[in-house]
Amino acid sequence: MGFWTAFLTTLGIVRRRVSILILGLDNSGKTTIIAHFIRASSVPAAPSPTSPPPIVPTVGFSLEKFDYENLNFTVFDMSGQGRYRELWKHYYDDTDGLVWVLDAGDKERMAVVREELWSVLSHKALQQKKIPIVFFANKMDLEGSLTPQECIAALGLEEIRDRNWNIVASSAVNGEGLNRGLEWLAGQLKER
Amino acid sequence: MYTLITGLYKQWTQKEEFYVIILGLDNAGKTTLLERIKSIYLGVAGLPPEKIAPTVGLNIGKVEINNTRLNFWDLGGQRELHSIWEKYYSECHAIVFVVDATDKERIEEVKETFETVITNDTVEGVPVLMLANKQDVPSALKVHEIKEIFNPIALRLGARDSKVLPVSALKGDGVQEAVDWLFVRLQRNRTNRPPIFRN
Repeated sequence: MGFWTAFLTTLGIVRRRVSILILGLDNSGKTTIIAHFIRASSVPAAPSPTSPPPIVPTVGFSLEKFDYENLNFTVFDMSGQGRYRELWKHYYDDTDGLVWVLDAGDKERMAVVREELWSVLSHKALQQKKIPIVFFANKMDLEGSLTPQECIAALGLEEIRDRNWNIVASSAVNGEGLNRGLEWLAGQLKER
Repeated sequence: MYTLITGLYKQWTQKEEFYVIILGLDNAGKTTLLERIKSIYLGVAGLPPEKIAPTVGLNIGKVEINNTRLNFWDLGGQRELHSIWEKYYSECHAIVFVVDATDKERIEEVKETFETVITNDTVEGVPVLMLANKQDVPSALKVHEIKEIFNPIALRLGARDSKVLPVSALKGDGVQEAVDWLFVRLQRNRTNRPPIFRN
C-alpha cells in the first residue's frame, strides 16, 4: 500500500481492502449469500425488467467484490463440490477471514462438513494465521433445519479455541441473518 | 550442542500461559468486558460497544502481564449455549462470571446458572471472580447487595479463592482491579492448575 493510499485509508476516504474466503459443501448457499451482499452494496439501479441470473453450481471458484461499511471485500467464492475442494488450500495464505456456509437442513452430510472443516483448520497456513471464522447456519427458512447450537454440537465447534469464531442462523434466499454475520466479521477485520 | 542451545533458547523465550473463561447470562456484558480488557492492556481500540452483537461462538483476548500470558475465552451466554461451557472447564485456570447488576428480574436465573457452574467437579478449586457489571447505571445492585444474594451459594465454593468486584465494562471502571485480582489468584493456584508453557 502506497503512502497516499495508506493516508486516505486512515482518513476513511478510501476503503480498506480485505479478502475473504467462502467455503462449505456444494449446495450450501455460498454464491447466493455473496449475491445478496453484492446487491446490498451496489447503488440501487432502476428496477430491471429481467430477473437476476439464476444461481448455478460454481465451477472452480469465482471472484467477487463488494463494499461493506468502510471495508472493500474481495471474496473468493470457492466451489464446494468434492472434486474442487482440493483448490481451497491455495487461497489460505492471502485471506483475512473465513466464511463457512452450512446447509443446516442437510443433517446427513454434517459428518462430511465436520471432516472438511477440520482438515481446513489443521492446514499449516491456517495454523499460523489465526484468522476469524463466521459460520452461517444457512437455510434456516426450511423446516427442520438445525439451530446454530445444534450445528456447534454436530461439528464440534467448541474445539476451535485458537481463533475467534461465531455462528449465525441465516437464510440466503430471504437475506435473514446475513448482515449480522458480515457485521461480526467486519468488526473482527477492522480490529487488526 | 544444537540441542543444548535450542533447549536454552526455548527455556529463555517460553511463556507461562493461563486460560480464563468468561461466563454469565446473555447480555451481561462479557464481550464488552473482553473488549475493554483488550483496549486497556493492548492499547488498541476495541469494538465499540454498540457494535457488539450477542456471541454465539468464541472471542479470544490475549493479554500479557509480567511475562505471563492470560488468554481470555469469552463464551456465548444464551441458555442453549450453557451446555458448551463445560467443554472448556478442564482447560481453564480461572472463571470470571459476569452479572448484569441492573437486571434484578433475572437474579434468580443468575443464581441457578452460577450454582451449576461452580458445583461442576471439573472446576473444583479454580478461582472464581464474580463481576457486578454495569455499575455506571445508578440503579445497579451494589457489590454488597450482590454478595448478600450469593452468600448462600458462596458457602459451596469451599476453600477456593473467590471474590465479588464492581465493574463497568462500558466505562472501564474496576476492570484493571479485576484482572489484577485474577493474576494473583492464578499464580497462587498454580500447584493445583499449573500454567501451560508455550513458545
